[in-house]
Amino acid sequence: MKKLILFLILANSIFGQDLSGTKIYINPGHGGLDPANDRYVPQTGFWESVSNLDKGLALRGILLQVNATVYMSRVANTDADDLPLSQIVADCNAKNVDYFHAIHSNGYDGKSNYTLLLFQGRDAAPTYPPSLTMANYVADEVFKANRTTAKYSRGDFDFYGTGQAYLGVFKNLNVPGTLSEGEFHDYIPESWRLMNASYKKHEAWAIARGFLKYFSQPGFQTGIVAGLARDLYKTVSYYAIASKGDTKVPVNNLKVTLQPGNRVYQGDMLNNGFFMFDSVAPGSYKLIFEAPDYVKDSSTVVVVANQTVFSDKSMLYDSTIAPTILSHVPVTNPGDSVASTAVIKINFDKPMSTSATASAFTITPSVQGTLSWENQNMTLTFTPSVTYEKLTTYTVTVSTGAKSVSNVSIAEPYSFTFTTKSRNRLNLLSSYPVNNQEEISTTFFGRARFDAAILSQSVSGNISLYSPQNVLVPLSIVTSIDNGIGIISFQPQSSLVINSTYRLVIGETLKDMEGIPTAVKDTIVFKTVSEKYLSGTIIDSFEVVGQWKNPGLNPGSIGIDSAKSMVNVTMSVKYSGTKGGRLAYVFTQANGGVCQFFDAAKPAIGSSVSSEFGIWVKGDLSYNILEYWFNDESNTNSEVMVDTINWSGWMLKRIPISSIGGSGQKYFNSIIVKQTPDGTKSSILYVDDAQYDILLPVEEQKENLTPESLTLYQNYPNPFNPETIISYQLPQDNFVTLKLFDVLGNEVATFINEFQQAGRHDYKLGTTNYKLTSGVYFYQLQAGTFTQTKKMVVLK
Amino acid sequence: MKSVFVQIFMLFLVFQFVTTAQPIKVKESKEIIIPGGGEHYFPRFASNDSTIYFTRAYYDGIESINLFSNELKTITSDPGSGFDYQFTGNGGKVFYRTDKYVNGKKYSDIKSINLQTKQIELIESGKRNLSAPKILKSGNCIFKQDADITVNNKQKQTMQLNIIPQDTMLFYSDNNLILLIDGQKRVFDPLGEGSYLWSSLSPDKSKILFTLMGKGTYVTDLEGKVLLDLGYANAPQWSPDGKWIAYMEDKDDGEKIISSEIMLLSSDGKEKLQLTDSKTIHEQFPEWSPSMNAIVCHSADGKIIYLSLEKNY
Repeated sequence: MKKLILFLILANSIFGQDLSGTKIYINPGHGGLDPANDRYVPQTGFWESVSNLDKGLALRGILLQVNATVYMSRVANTDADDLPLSQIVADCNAKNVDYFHAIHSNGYDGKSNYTLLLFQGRDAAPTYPPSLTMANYVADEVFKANRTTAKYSRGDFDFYGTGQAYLGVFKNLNVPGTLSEGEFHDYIPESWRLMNASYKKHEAWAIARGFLKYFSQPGFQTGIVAGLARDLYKTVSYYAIASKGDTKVPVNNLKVTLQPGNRVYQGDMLNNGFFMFDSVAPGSYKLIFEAPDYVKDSSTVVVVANQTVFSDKSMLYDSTIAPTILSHVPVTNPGDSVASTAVIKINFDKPMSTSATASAFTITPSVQGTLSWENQNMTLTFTPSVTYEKLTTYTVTVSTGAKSVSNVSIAEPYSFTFTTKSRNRLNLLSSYPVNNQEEISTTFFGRARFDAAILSQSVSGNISLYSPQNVLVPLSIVTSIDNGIGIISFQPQSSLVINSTYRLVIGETLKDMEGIPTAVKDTIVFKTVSEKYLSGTIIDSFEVVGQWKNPGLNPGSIGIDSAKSMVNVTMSVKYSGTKGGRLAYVFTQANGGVCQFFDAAKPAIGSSVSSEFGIWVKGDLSYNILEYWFNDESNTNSEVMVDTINWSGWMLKRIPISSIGGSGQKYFNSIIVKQTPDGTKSSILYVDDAQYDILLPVEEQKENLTPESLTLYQNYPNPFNPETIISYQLPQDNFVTLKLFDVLGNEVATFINEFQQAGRHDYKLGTTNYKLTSGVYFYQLQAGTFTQTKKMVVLK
Repeated sequence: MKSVFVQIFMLFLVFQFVTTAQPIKVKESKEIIIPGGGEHYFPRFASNDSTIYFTRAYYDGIESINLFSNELKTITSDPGSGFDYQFTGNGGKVFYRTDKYVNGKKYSDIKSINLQTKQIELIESGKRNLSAPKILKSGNCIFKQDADITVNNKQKQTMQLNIIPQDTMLFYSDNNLILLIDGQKRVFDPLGEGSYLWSSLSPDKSKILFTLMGKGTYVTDLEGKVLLDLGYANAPQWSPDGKWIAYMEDKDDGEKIISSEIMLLSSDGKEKLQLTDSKTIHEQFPEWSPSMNAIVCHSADGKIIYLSLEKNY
């Protein structure tokens, strides 16, 4: 009792110092949890505005007890406390104080933790010389209190490198001022300490000591006992500075008793392990440390006035206590189910024997997987190497064979269950191309649709296209989602080779967003177009818009958004030339829309029933219907269905002119897109080079292969007018002549007379160029010793 | 006569409004180059438009520059003198407070300087908690020490407040304003306790303009009835004719000023004008010229900005 009375007497007399009449302004930074001017550390929940205010209020409390007059720019942390710097400075100036001090903490890279005091001016030439004095006082005290790595007193001109006033809180201030950044709040051990109220108050004591020095007052007559309690062995998982002891795990729920006086400090659960007794009379004391699961410990300290004496404690874990399981995942409520790839985690409260505990782990039905440890061997993780079965209840058990590192078993078995979902595979719903599909455009783009959204990180290496030579074809790949359907769109980065077989492989480790894999490899084989076309008579190269009319102007259009449906030309997508046609359409209904792109020029396309009309159309898998419209000399309309737009890439979409109704000369007038129930409601169709009398098809050979023998092919078409194609292939480089003779053996023309390289060659012959009349002709190819002749017929 | 305008250069685009009927618009925006360089703050006028007074960083001294002769004068170098100094009505004398620190505590003098004769008068010396001085119609100096308001006549003799003839004054107090009317003190806190910043009486002394810290800026009558709520409007200043209020809309990121523009609001609250619009120059603390032909202010980095105005009303 005598000692307690002595303590109380001392506690009441500690504030012998007197700052009566001294006016101090404290600015605890901006308030209001405003991300624009506040700093937040998500790992710890730290807000600088909260921390600064706590320090400021604690400092005010200390200074008031030594009779100072203290003003604060804010005493709460609401939006209204988010004051502009100009008002803070004006308030301080108006209050005509003796000193201004702003309280902050610092942030940088998460690895720094020094004490910084800033003042206005150059490092060695402060605007107000007393500011440097105060900065040094506070830097000394806060550095000692927070035990940071270093201390600095810097002028803002130099610290920020501006050479002139930088910090807004000093600008226009009419008194000396400083700003303390006591520590770094993004250094995680310090961030956790800043969540402790006593730690912040301890910094306030340090600043208050600086004020006493600054105002030439004697120091406090009492001292402080403080320290950090940490686990003797366990290390933290975040970055920590070893020389400061921060690598060891702080002890939560710490209880420290100071004797004599029996004062008790009860710690928090905020991973700091800090404790403090302030206003302690100088003398010898005993500290008793206690914490759940730790061995009780003690130490002695000698308290000195106006100082902090530290007594850190490395606490020994009580090895005789049985370990317990704190939690597990997955945790499911009745009716819940988990993904087929769910990882199991079991969290113990103590470091465990990895071998004994792994042996004690079972999962039923059994699943192949791996066990691993983390969190100082306190978390056991099971990662399945195969997916769980669908709609299956699994039971996980940890038997009493699980032991702590001190070889103490868990008290009783631990068990939990979970049920898997109905899906354990990512399923391919459809694709373009499908397996064994032929006539795929060399400029195609592919699409694979799955029953769940795709995990984009899993796409790499799982969508592969191989050439006939088994060479990987570079692809551009995009993932998207449409009503729960995962879509992978891919396109070769260069055109494919015609008449060739390619192989698309979808890998088994492609995953959905839940990590559920395809599990099996899928291979899709397809073949590119077999024919090569040469242009016929082009009636529209789509280099200009010409007399094309927007669909909204055409009475044939039904159910379209006229503002968004329009015809144009573009340089960005074209088959040939410099531009291509761009037909944008938007249907406003679910079905039955008709979008008519009308060409008022109505170019003639001839009347030959043996001819064909076609347009290069870049398919987009819209699954709407493509039609061409024509009219004849009597202006009778005829619509011809071309195809469902179920392809991608450029294809020459042809129709026989004989399929066009009416009689005599035919005229092309419209491209129609008809909406289908499964069709896309809006898209852009690109078209190019509308033509007739198409020169086709020439049977295509593998262009890249050198032919084994010299071959002269039959011209096509034959009979012909006005153009035909003469094709031949050379097995080796040679001098070549290609000549035309009439039925009497007279040489009519020499088409080719030059040295040519081995490979396939095509020559396009036009009747007008050589003024050929109707009749039979012979064309002759000569290459080296080889000569071959074939017959052709010109019709007029 | 070599005009200082010859030496100024166009830093900013002339900020003009398209609307021709705008009652006040900026004809030209210029930096006033102060010979010798350095940072300069809080420019203001005295009794005419020809001379701008300003201070250096942290209010150390008062200087002036004549806009036509480019003559630069140092009025005083006393520390702290550049904070809230006052001119007599004819501009012939300036009153100011100067501060010094002893063991960390601020001690202040109040002085006056005759701008023609350079004669300095020491009105109060070495006192704690002295407010910046104010000037009565009579030319006498009035100031506040702690809660007391003291009037000195020209002979530095202290007089009773109740003999102040028909004068109205405002003084800052920690949680309110002190309104002095005809020698009678009255606590003025129309919106409750708080820090009433940048307070001033309208030119006709019938209204009070102030910013309540953390709340906003208001105009009230002398009884405290709110006549106008300006919202966020810092460092407001009555125009000499009382028809306009100039202020700054400043923003910061907690560390530094990131933007500030000079705005005008008509005193009836009906018309709001933006006078500056520079993204790189942060104009602050506007002050009217007596003729209302100009507003001066400083930029956050210590440049003096002169806004030449055109009135259309």
